[in-house]
Amino acid sequence: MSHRSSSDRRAIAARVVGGVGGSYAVATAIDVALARMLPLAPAEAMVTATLVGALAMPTAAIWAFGARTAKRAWGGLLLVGGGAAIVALLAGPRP
Amino acid sequence: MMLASLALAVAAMALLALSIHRHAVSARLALEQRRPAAMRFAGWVMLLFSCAADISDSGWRLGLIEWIGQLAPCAAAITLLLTNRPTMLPRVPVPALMIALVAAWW
Amino acid sequence: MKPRSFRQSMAWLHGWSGLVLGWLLFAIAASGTASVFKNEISDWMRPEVTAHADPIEALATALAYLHAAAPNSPSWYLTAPDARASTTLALFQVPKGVDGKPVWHTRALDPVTGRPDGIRDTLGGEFLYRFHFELQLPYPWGRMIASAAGMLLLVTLIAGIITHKRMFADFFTLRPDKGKRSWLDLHNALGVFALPFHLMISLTGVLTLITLTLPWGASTRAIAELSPGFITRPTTHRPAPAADSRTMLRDAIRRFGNGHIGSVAVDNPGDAAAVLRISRNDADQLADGAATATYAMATGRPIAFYAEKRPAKRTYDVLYGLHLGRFAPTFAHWLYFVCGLLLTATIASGLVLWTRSRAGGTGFGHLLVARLTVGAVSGMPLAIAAFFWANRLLPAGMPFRADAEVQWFFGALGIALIVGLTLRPRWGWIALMALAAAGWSLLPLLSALTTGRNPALSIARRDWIFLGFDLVALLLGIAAAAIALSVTRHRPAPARVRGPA
Repeated sequence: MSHRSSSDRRAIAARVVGGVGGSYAVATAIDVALARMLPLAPAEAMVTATLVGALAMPTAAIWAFGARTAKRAWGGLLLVGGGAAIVALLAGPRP
Repeated sequence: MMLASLALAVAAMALLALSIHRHAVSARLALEQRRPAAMRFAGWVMLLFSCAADISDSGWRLGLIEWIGQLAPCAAAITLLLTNRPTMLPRVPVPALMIALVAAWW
Repeated sequence: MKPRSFRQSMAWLHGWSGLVLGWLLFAIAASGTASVFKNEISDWMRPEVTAHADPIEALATALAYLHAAAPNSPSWYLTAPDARASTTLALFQVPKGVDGKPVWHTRALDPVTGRPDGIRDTLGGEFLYRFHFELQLPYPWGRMIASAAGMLLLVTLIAGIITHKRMFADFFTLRPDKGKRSWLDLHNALGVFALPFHLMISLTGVLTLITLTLPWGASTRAIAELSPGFITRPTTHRPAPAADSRTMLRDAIRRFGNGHIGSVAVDNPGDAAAVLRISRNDADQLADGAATATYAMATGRPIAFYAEKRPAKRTYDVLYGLHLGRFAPTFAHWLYFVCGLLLTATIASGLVLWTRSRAGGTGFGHLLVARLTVGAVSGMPLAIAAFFWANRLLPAGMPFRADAEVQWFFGALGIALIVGLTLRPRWGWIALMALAAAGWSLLPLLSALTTGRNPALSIARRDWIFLGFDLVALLLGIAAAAIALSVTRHRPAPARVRGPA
């Protein structure tokens, strides 16, 4: 492992942060967005949103580690996560 | 029916194993006995029948769960046989099928 | 990192994510596998209880006992006996302890007398079950760590599937005596044979704890409406005797379509507004917590009946139920157990493979991984065996007996870890696996000597639980002995000069 250059280490660190923190953030954003905007009863929307969020997390993690470059990895996470966050903000909290 | 399902799964796994060239060689299957396509087809058909047996026994949900669950020990058994006594493998499908038929019509 | 193929990235991910919490995942998988039979284990650990009773009678006598023993408790919770559990398990909350936190007491109650007298103080199989998702850590940290581990397992599994190139072609391949290649074959075989189970159990496992890890979608209304079956009333501080519980229990069974009772909860017992909530047994259907009947305890009048029908919540309940596996009849239960063993073995073989695939590494990190693997992988079977030995050896009346049994578990685990770190891996494996082999295979003998219940007696009495336990213990002992023997026989190839890889 000592043969890795510092740019390698930074790339790995970027992937790990993306894979762990980023995937959790994406899952949370999707969870909140769906819970707020799904046209279902509040409890049903919450459960559906949580189930989808639970599936989104491993998907995002695989993306974070599998994307061809670290930039692409983060780009994808920010795109999906950011998009979901915007939807969540626009939908506003449920009454 | 549970026994029929297990026996069918074992027979199916044995056939699927024998359809793979490398395993047919270790099982010393004679060249004229090797029919990979036919064995593969028969194997998959038997797996389906095994699934049907479980479902007819326990209903859709439980039957499907039981079928998926029992594939693991059946696959393990065939793999162990292949590793330790490969020449016995060709002798598995027919007796297993017999057991399945007897168990099903009992 | 030079751009790699997707498969290569997944291989890297699989190796590292598997290592990061591999030992913890092994412990979780092992205790989870044991939990499949937690009720049977509990019965084995309470050999004094030989009676069986109708669940309604058992619950009625248990409630009578609690009225006498814990009249001021704000909350009681009873798990009904059923086909797989003889005793009634009672939990009751005592008025706040010294530090203001609620304190819960557990009692196992005889199904005929409803009393705990004469039953040894033990946590039973519930200890292994709790350890599986709480890791003996205070709420909520244990569950959060377990949840994170579960998510990591899921990611590791998916990465492993993507990496595995020739899954069907290599399905039956097991090449012994080829060193690293053999371990890879074994790891692949164990992983692939029960792959649907592994995926299902890790996904549903994450879902059981999801309210803790992804709570952000909640709103006050959603939470209020989540469990319409959970109805309670505040205390009126006016005492009132309870109506006959048998009537209420029978009515609940009728409403369950002649199903079975799973658990009973009482809020503010002895109060005029006491509430009795009866939940359906999980063995009746795939979904967890499917139906609840609520009664006013003072009058016996039904207040509400709720059967979950909403699609999203029901989906969640079914997935939850799939993880618990309580819906499964005997054959399917054993399948859960066998597949659980395969998952535990997959994780263990993965850890061993990790140390083998980096052979030649003499760095501290490599040494630590190798030795921790020895301790962790042999430690769990050793610790569980120690737990059972404690159950049979500790005197019945000793104070804090249940805690002592748990201490034996962690003591054995600690010893295994220390031995694993001290000895060279080859000797660590042999010593610890031999000890585990002795611990497990002698367990039936110990049990027969201390309780008088031996296999012959079990067959005569049709006591399948005791017989099954003895058989599994023996098989596990043989497996551990086989592992110890194969390590003894294995002569590592003399070190070769490694050319370009």
